[in-house]
Amino acid sequence: MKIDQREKYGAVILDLSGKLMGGPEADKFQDIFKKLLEEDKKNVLVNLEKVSWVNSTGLGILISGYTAMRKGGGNLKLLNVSDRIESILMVTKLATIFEVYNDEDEAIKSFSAAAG
Amino acid sequence: MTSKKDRIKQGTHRIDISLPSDMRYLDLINTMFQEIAGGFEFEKDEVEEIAMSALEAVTNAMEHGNQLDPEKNVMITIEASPGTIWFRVSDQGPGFDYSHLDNPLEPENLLKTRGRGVFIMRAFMDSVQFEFVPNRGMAVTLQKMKKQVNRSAEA
Repeated sequence: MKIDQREKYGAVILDLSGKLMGGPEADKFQDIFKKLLEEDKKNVLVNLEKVSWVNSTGLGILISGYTAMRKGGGNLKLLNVSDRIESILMVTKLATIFEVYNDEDEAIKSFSAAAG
Repeated sequence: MTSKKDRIKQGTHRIDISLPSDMRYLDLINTMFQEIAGGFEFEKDEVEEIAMSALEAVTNAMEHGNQLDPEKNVMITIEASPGTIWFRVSDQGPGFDYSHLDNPLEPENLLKTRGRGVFIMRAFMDSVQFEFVPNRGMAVTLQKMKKQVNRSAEA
């Protein structure tokens, strides 16, 4: 799993490529979330456009990030979710937890809208 | 390019593989099940459901059953025919109590980071059966029939 990080209008965008499957990657993500909170960057948009598949332990990583950001006063949202990932979010009811967007700017704006 | 008609295989094919408990093989599992299900008349959404279920079964076997010990293998047997797939995933672990699993949809469980694998298998497959074989390990057997074939069987 490759993770590229960028910032836009006060939000952090994590562009993921590959497979989100947990295991050793979980530590990498934990480090990223911890560092972001230390830097007071608590609004995170995870771009799943180039993620080919997610398993349940991969979902656990996203939940862990969501919980951490919410605890820090921010949020974690998802961008460009494939049909396959959408179906796993629906069946696990995680679609009621994660806000999902198809448009990056709209997603970024939603962080400000929530704060206002 | 091979046409869909050419790719759809006739008869029943059986595939047996054995893998070390290394999650780097999961991509191979995903691709293999997509190819097999896609070649035996399942529609796109069903193909993905089968692949996702296989990933969960193999992840569980590697991680929970075999504790990611590369000396322990995960054995997979697949039997596929047009519109039907059956597969068994076995580990070499001590087994677990599959009758008392938390429901990940309950509000108190929704934000837990683990505990969804079996639920996902049961949601996407027609049948999921667990069996512990003493001195061997845990086996989970999953089955799915293509939607229209299933409806005909029920009639």
